[in-house]
Amino acid sequence: MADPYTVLGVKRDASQDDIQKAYRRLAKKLHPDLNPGNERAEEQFKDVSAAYDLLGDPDKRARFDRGEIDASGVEQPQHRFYRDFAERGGSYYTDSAGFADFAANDDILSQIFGSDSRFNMRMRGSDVHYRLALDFLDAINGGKRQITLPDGTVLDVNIPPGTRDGQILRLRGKGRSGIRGGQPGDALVEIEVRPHRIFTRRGDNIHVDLPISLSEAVLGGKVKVPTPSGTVTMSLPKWSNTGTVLRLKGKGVLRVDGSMGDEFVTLKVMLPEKPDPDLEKFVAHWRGTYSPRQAMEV
Amino acid sequence: MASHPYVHHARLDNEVIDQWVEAGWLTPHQETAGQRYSSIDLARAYLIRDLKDLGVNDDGIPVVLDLIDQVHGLRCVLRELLSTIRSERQQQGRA
Repeated sequence: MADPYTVLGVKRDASQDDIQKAYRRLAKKLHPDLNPGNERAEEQFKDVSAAYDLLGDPDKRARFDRGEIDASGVEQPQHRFYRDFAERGGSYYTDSAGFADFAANDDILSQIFGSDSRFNMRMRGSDVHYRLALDFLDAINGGKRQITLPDGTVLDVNIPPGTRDGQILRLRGKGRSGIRGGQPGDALVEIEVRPHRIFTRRGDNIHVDLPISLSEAVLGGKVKVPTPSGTVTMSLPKWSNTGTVLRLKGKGVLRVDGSMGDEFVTLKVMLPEKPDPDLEKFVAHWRGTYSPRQAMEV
Repeated sequence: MASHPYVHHARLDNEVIDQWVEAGWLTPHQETAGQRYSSIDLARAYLIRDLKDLGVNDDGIPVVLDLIDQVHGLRCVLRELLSTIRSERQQQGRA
């Protein structure tokens, strides 16, 4: 832990009064319950209160100054803040006075909190979070999955086609049950998509590297190409070079508007894996004048 | 009265907590038999203790608690509204 004097921003000879003032000034700013939306407040506040725990007590401070105890020895026990309980799904302390004036006649708010929008009477259940790892193609083509919860119940998850990595699927009403007749919370399923051996996804498009032979590159022809929905045949024009990108329209990922992304095929000319004497003999007779390194000026 | 393991950690006396209940700052709801305070009651007790450490006096405590509870109410409504809007947007997108 950092030096408690530095944490509180006081000199080593500061009076107890100054230390208390410094603590109060920082704690007012950093207390997590006074900053319900600030994620970092908790960490900073813990440092500040640990420092004050040490320096705020003259005995402990004197022992620390003499080197008898170090700063790490006085870390406070884990404690959970009020904000961890007060907001999610509401609680019996949560107060509707902050919006009661416009909630009374507002159908949007009363829909959320039930017909009588007396907030304290019925409380929506809290949401529960899950993670689900999917194979690349399962995420693109969609399907059904099941999650078994710790209590043994099984949750059916509908994977819409085109599901992205990091997307959160909301299963209405599958969270914790409501309080006093409130609606149940939702189950939020965060999707993790595993990478694929040959496909990569960028937005709604699929990218794939396609190896082609020398003769296919020079003469063109029909080649088979893998796509997420199965193998298709593609016409290769004559003189298709390494790095050429061909587009297979509509072979990408289903978009939310119902249209389809594309698959982009990047060609890669491959020589045969083993040396081919015929090819060597043939190329030896070939007199090309083209220098592929012209642009590099070598 | 059955106490709670957290009470010890929180450096709070049962007697002090009783006073806070009497003042209406805490309104414990029995969660399980033999345990008077639920986790949220104790987290709220911590908050009251911290507020006192910060120099808030007894007249100020209920004012601060009330405002914090209103903030949580608003944040709760805001979260609900956002999630409703988001799911409606998703449904429109899929339709």
